[in-house]
Amino acid sequence: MALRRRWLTYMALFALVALGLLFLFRLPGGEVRDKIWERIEGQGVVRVGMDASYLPFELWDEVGLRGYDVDLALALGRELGVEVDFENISFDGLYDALKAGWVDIIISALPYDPLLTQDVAYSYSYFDAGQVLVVREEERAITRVEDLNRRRVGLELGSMGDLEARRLEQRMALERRGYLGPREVLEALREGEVDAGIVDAISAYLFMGEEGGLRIVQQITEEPYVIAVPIKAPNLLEKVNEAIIRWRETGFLEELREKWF
Amino acid sequence: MNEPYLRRYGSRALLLLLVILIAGVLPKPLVTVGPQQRVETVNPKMGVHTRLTDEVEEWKIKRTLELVRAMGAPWVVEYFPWAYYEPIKGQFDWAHADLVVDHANAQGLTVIARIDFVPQWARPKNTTNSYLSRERYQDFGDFVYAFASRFRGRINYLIIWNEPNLSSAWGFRPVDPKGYTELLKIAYGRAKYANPDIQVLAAGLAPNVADEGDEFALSDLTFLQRMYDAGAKEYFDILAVHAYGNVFPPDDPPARDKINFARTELIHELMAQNGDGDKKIIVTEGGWNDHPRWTKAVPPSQRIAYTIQAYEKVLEWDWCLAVAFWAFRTPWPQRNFRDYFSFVTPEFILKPIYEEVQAYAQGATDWLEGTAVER
Repeated sequence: MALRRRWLTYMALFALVALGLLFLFRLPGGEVRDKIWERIEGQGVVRVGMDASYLPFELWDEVGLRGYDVDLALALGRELGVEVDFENISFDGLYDALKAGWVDIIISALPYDPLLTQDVAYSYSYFDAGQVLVVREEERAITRVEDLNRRRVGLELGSMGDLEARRLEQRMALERRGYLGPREVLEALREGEVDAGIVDAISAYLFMGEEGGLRIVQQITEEPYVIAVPIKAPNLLEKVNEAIIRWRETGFLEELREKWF
Repeated sequence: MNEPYLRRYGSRALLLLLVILIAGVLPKPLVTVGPQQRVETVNPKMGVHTRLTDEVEEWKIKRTLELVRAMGAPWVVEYFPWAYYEPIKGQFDWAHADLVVDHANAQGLTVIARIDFVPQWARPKNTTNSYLSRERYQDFGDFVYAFASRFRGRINYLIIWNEPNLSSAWGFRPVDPKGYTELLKIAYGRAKYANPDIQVLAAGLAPNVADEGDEFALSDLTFLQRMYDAGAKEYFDILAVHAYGNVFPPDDPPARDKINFARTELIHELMAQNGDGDKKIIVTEGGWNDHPRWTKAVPPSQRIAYTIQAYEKVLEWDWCLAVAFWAFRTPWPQRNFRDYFSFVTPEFILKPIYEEVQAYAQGATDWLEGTAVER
């Protein structure tokens, strides 16, 4: 009798563990309900939250709404087969708007934030705004930060580029030259005052687009811009990620960068 | 006693004794206060506002204060919320405050303590932690007495409340300079009774230009005048001032309708007009921000320049005892513009501004002479 009781206990435990495992690793075919995607599909509109005050990514002024992210959102609408409704919200209010359900998605030069992944889900990155190493077009001897030993390096004082240069300074004899802003760094580089510059990618792309004569040789730090969706919208996230992969493959992201920088 | 009984329990008793001995010998504190340090600086008025209130780990508290000392700032402002230390009326838990204060003192830092944050037992339901009714002023006075007694000899500067000229800092009620003055009077008496050497600071007011009758705020200048009208002069030794520069340099001239660093001069003028010009000011919050997208921010190099120039400017203000800029480091990232006020990241990465201010405190003058920047 005792043996039978023990056997039944073992069976019950086994069943519980199996159920738990089944819950954790559901088969790929298992349906997950995404009410947000159902609403977008049903109404034919995706509501995009953005803080339209940050050219070249987004700006809403007398000319109208425009920028890299605006084009990206419109392209996403085409991918999803729905209209795009833009909501202009201050940057600090974007996440609250997403959590409160005022918008379905945030596209707003949004940096990835690992601390918020309990509340929101992030797409793959579509742009990296981190610090980059920039040299003159004809420069061949500098291809990475390791080549900066005994070189003059320009940076915006107090910036993340400055921080990186100070770190490098601890392991090599680079000459750090501080400037007021990234534009001054890149002008100094073009004019030969320094051998290389460390600035953020946005400033570098903007300068190269307007003035030319420089090129990026290394991405030193990462600051990925991503799209945020509610944590309970896995289908929407999947479709956004599929779109980003497609845009990378087709060169659409590159086209956008060339258009806006 | 029979032999089986001894055999059975004797070995267990021995084992227990061994465990007690090991427990008594082995555990040692992982972090110690360490030897007394001294701040080396060319500017004895330099300070920062630390945010150790919610810093749990002792090594982080110690490390933060070591870095403040190494930067060359002898003054720290720190927040000690009433609700944290008196969760039940008359029952105090000073453990965390002791840690902060002992480490700060060991680093040679002078602590200016700000106290407010009403515990739940001292306010009605559905009110915020800044709501304190007049009937509860004595409870706050009791806490001030307990705090000043506890830290006698360790803390000699006490700020009573924070920004009472904002409705949000006054329980979302209309701001009330007279009501605040009554609170200040009670706190002043109780603090002095506990420690006659303590210097009581009237609260730093939020710099703003709101007119009387505004729903959310009242101009700092108007509020201070109303405090004087209510007799506040006798109930504070020093005035705390919040001096944010926004996008203006430290030498930008002050004006009643402008929020800049030199607005502090207008506040001192107002004190003088009320016969209180010999009293000192301490800037307990202030500074510049270098967030790339916030409209009240400046570029990082300007933030460094303005910060160092402001530290230097305060040397000319003989009526200003110290300036503590907001905020040295926070325990975790805020993930918004607030992170761009700091000198050190939550992970203890020193920002360039930290190193430049440190160099200034060691005698470097390039930021004052304009030679720190190439162009």
